[in-house]
This record gives sequence, structure tokens and C-alpha cells, in this order.
Amino acid sequence: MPEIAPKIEGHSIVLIGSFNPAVFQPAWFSAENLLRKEEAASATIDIRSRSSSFTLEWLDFRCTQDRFGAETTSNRRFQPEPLRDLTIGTFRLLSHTPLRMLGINLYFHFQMPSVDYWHKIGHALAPKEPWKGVLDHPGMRSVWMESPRSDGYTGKINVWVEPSVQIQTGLFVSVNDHYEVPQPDSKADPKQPQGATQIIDILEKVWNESLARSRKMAYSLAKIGE
Amino acid sequence: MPLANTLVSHDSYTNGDGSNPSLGTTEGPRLRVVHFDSNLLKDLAPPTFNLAPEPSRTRASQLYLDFASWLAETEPTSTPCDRFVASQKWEGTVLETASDSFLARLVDLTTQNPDEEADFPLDEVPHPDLSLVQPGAVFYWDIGYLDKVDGQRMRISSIRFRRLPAWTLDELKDADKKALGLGELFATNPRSPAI
Amino acid sequence: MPPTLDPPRSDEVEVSLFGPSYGESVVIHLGHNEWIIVDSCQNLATKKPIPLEYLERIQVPPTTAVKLVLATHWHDDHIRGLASVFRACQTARFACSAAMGKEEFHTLVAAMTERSMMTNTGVSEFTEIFNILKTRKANNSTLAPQVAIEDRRLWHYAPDVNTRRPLTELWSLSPSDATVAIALTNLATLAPKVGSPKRRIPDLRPNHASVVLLVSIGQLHILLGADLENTVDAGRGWTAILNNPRRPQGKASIFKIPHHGSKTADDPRVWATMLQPQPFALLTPFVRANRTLPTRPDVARICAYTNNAYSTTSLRPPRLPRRPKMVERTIEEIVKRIQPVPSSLGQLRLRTTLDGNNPWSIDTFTGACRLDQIYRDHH
Repeated sequence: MPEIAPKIEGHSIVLIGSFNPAVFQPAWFSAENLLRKEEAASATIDIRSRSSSFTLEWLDFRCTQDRFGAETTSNRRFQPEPLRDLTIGTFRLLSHTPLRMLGINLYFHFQMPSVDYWHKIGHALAPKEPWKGVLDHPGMRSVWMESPRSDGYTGKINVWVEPSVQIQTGLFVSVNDHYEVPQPDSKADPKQPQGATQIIDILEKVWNESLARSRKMAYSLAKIGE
Repeated sequence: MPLANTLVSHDSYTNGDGSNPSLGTTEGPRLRVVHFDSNLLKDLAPPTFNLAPEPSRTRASQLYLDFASWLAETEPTSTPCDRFVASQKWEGTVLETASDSFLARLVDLTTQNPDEEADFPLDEVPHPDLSLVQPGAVFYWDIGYLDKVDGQRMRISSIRFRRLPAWTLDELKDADKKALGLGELFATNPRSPAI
Repeated sequence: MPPTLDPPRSDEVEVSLFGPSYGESVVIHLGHNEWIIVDSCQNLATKKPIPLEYLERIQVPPTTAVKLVLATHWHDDHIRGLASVFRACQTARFACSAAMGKEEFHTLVAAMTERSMMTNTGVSEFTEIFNILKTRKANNSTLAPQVAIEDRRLWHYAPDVNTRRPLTELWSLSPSDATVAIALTNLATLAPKVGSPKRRIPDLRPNHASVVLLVSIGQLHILLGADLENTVDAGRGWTAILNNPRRPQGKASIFKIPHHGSKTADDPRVWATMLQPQPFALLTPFVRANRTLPTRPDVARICAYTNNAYSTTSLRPPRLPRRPKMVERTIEEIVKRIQPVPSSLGQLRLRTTLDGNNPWSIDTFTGACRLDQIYRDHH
């Protein structure tokens, strides 16, 4: 049995809060020493009234008024540590940004060793017996499982398993490691921390553990077909 | 709930049905860097698992299976781009610098190998990062293959220094406050304790 | 017959030096089941602090048996695992160099902890130690840390005829006031400033703040040289110690050679006036990609002082981990030199009776060897 390994891997960090997307341009990041000047100058940029996005060799960045998302993928230049550093650096600087939620996301496209193996996984995750008499030819398109956290943080863990649309006979597994922090009282002093410090503290503390746990989950799902 | 790995246009940051991504979710961005020709999928369902119960398959289900297999065999259309996969990664800390080299401690990020120390020529540092090469600076060192869009494969060693915002006044004030607390732990006690 | 790992008797003194070629630790039995631990290093295979592993192996409970945990300085190679050691030694007092009791060091520790993304081992060990001290202080379960400076008696046991316990004293012979002032000036250069980039704290050398310890148990004296080097300034380094008329005058029969046997830490007057003839001289090697200590000339120099020189490990040519050929090829092309941080661990153990009437016996464990054999595996 050949070793199951991902052909494509991606990491992303998503923050839910309140943002001014116009701030997050490559030039700003490089002025704050978070990106090299040269790569900021060569970025592909798309700035609109309510969103801002740019692409570097190793980074896809998108920000709207309520969502900050940065992704790196092995489809191009995979740099998970700089991704983390960029996010942490940004919100250590902008420590008064209201942030409510953090998602540390991993996804994999695994190459399955055979079509039978691939189907075995679908059958294990979505048994067809209950569908007899309901659908003629049921097939699994997606399974989404959610679990509350058991590590003391508020939040949950979401896992999706689907057939991959990027590789032939592939399995797509995505893990969303989701954290939430309580929000300050609306009457509270706006100079007080609005969640950014707490969220970024979590990100810094759990990064390695989160990746290791998500990776383990994904690999174990990919091996169901054994 | 749209499929997590549904391909949508690179430009539209929305769910497949046109609605905005649901608030309160922190899943990875729904759009991918891959453009996908949706016409291919117009009359077809995406590949599905396990179209028939194990172990036998009826003729009808076999047809569907073939259908889906055909779909699975279709290569997705994607914007070609260079692709780098690191075979080995380290996190390094600069220990000492010299006129044309620096000594660094390396922590293996790929395996559980013990730490190493290496002497790097400064030539290996990208020009924009040269000013960052100081004792205590942190960097990442990757080795792997770069597969270019034209099919060329190149062996790459890449060093990238960690970039963080400079120290702020607030951070230092915070540190001073904590330092006072630490100082209170120490009391002058010229007489040594004895049993 | 190979030596056994058994605990010393109650009426025995034991001195153990541990060294994995990157780090060192001294564990001393003062007699009557009471111990002190000086510095710490980590077993790279188990990731546990070596002093605790040793005490566990000889079934000595660190919670009650260890009376003092001392950090001679804050460099990485002397402090790995020290916080875990101190946490386990629940009734021990903590002592450290005077420089580490000062605001400049505290500011550095406070800044380099959370949210800096730039912690390193030395600083993070101290952060944890300070947290343990705070907790114990809040529970009224500990005394304030002892600050080691020249002419300070850090610990003593009064003689007791009933138990036949001799006068036992622990003296810090350094750092001097002048040295502390310089160490603080150097620390201040490392302190972050507004607008300066974030970096990990490098180890400053020479190490002015290092604590030299003299352990005196009746007529037995043990001199632990830590990392102290010499300078041209008479108020610093070994010269300051030698020139100090107030220092205890007992001549040591065991000498933990400072700074891995380097020439910069050598002073012939130490051998002539602070040590007995033919003392046991112990050292831990220091291996880095661009230099190794002791050098062969260092070995020759030390072996000329005494026939009883030992090292915790021999120096073997480094063996890099196996990696895919492409990676190995690239490493060879890119770096001038690379070597693994050595993980071989050795122990030198010396024992004698409390009354001082018997000579020291020495046992070597794992990779430890006579100093003149340290380069035996090199060609």
C-alpha cells in the first residue's frame, strides 16, 4: 500500500472582526516591515471600496470589512510560518482592532491509491443503506462534522471531507480550527483592548499544536480506506 | 452550505449561490487560485463517492460510476504557475555574524532531528533581508524543487528572515511594569540561610 | 567492573558533572542526604533536565532533598531545563548571579516573553523560574532568591558533633561589583528600544556576570569555575578573584574548569594558589560549527597542570542526520560548515567521605573520559 500523502496542501488564517480594508495594502505591510519592499512592489493588487486583496508569490490576501483572510498553498510557494508571522505582526501593531473569531485552517488534496480505496472512504463516512428507497444512486458529495473544543478555549472544530475537484481520484479534507473570544461591553472604553490581543495571543500560542492536530485528523481520515 | 472545495471565480468572494460568505465562520477562503471552467460542470454533478453499495454494482450504477470516473479523469483547468514544495525546512536563529558569513542555530521543522549549527555565507541571504542579519534574528531556510510553468525543474535553497513590527512604546511600558513586579521578588538578604 | 549508579551514603560527599557537549550541570551531595544543583542541561533524547533524571535514577527525591538551585548565568548552555528543576525542588532556595537580580535583566525578561515572538531558551527559563517564585511567594512557601556576588556566603551548615557534620559553606567568589556594572551595561545594549527590530537575545560573551562558586565541606573544597574568563582589567574575571584578600582561602581538590577549558579563562595563578597539587580538573566540551573547546593546545596546557584531568564527553566527528540526497547535496553546496548539536551525554562522578580522610574516587559514565583522550576519535 503506497503511503497516503497530500498532493496539494494549504494553510489559511481567517479573522472575523471589524476592519478597514483600505489599510491592508502591500505598501502598508512593507512600511511596517511585515513584507519586503520588493515583493510589496510586485504584488498583484485589487483594491475596492469595501474589500482589498493582493497576491504575492507565497500569499493570497483578502480583506473585507468583517473578514481578514490570508492563505498560502503548495500550489505555488508554501510559506506557513511567514503567514503566521504576518498575521501576528499585523495585529500586534493594530492591537485595538475589534476581533471576535480566529480560524486556523488546513486543507489537503490527497491522492487516493485507487478508485476502490476512494469509494471505500465515501462508503465509510456516508453509508448507503439508510438511503435505500430514498435515492436510486446515492453518492456522497460532502460530509461536514463539527465538534466543540475540549481544550479550554471557546470555539469548535469543523472538518469537511469531499471528493477533490483538483486531483483525479482525490480526497479533499479541510479542517477549520475555530476560536472565539468574548466581546467587550459596547459601553466600554474604546481604548481598551477589543479582542485583537486575546485572539493573537491564542494564535501565537496554539499555532504548532493546531497544525499538528489538524494534520493528524486529515491523515487519519485519508487512511480510512485501508 | 456550499461545498468546501467548490471552485468559483477568482474574482467573486461569495458563495456559489451568490450570497456573501456566512458571518461567524472562519473557514478558509472559499475561492481558490484555480479557475475552473464551470461549463464542464453544467450538466454534471461533481464526482461522488461510492455510487453503489459495496461490493457489487448494478449495470446502471456502473454507468454512473463510469460517468463520475470520466469526470474524475478530467484535468481541472487551472491558471498555471510556478510551484515550490520544500523537502526540508528549518527555523534558524543567528548566533554570530562575521564580515561575509553568519553562524546560526537550526531547528528542523520537517523531522525530529536534533538541532544543528551552520555557517552560512552572506551571499545566500536575499538582498532585501541583508539588513536583518543580526545576532538573535530568526529566519526560515527551505530546500526543495521549484517546478516552473514551462516544465523546467530547479533545485532551490531559500532563506527568508522573519519580519515583525518594531518595538512600540506601549510594549516597552508593559515590559517595564512587569519588570517592577519581578524586582519585588528579590530582597536583600546578606545573611545566608542555614539549617 | 563498571561503576554503578547508586546514591551516595549519608556520610559521603559526591560531586557529579554532566555535559552533553552543549551545556553542563553540577549536582553535589553535601552529606546527610542534602543536595545542591548548579545550572542545568537537557538530555536531548528524552528532553528532560539531566539533574532531575540523575536524581530519579538514584532514587533521591528532589522535592525535599535539594536545598539550593543556582544559575551561574543565563546563557542557553547553562540553563536548559532549570525551571523544571526548580519546580521539582519544592523546598529549594533559588540563587543566581547578581546581574540577574537587577532591573536591566528583568526588563529584558519581561519584554522578551509573551507577544514578542522572540523568546529563547535562556530567557524563557528565567520567565518560568520567576513565575514559580511568584507563586511560592504568594503561598509563603519560599524565601526570596539569593543573589550571588563576590564575598557572599550563599549557604551554610553549622558543624554538628552529634551528626559529625563539618562546617559546610557555599561562597560565591564572583561577580565583582565592577563586573556587575559592566554586565548591566551590556544587558542594557540588548534591551529593546522604541522602533528597534525584534530579535532573540544572543548570548553575550565574555560572560562577565558568571558566578564562581567555592563549596567547602570541612576540609574538602570544590571550586566551580562556571564560564568566567579573564580580562586585562584587574577588577574583573579571575584576576579580581585572585586579588581579593577577603575570599575564603581553602584550596580546592576538585576544579570545574571554566569556559570549557579555553585559554581566555585560564590563569596559572588559579592553579598555583587556589588549588591543591594535582587536583581533579573537570570540564565539559563546547562544540559549535565554527569552533570547538577545548582545543588541542588547551588540552595540552591543562594536562600539564594536573594528571587528573577529565572531560564529560570525548569529541567525535559529527554525524549529520540522513536526509534525501537532494537535500544533502544542497546543504553541502550552500553552507560552509554544518554540524549537529552534539547529543552524547557523559557524567563524571567523584566521591569521598565527609571527614576528608579518604582520597576522591572518580567514576566515568557513558561518554566521559580522561582529558588526554578527548580527541581520540579524531584523526
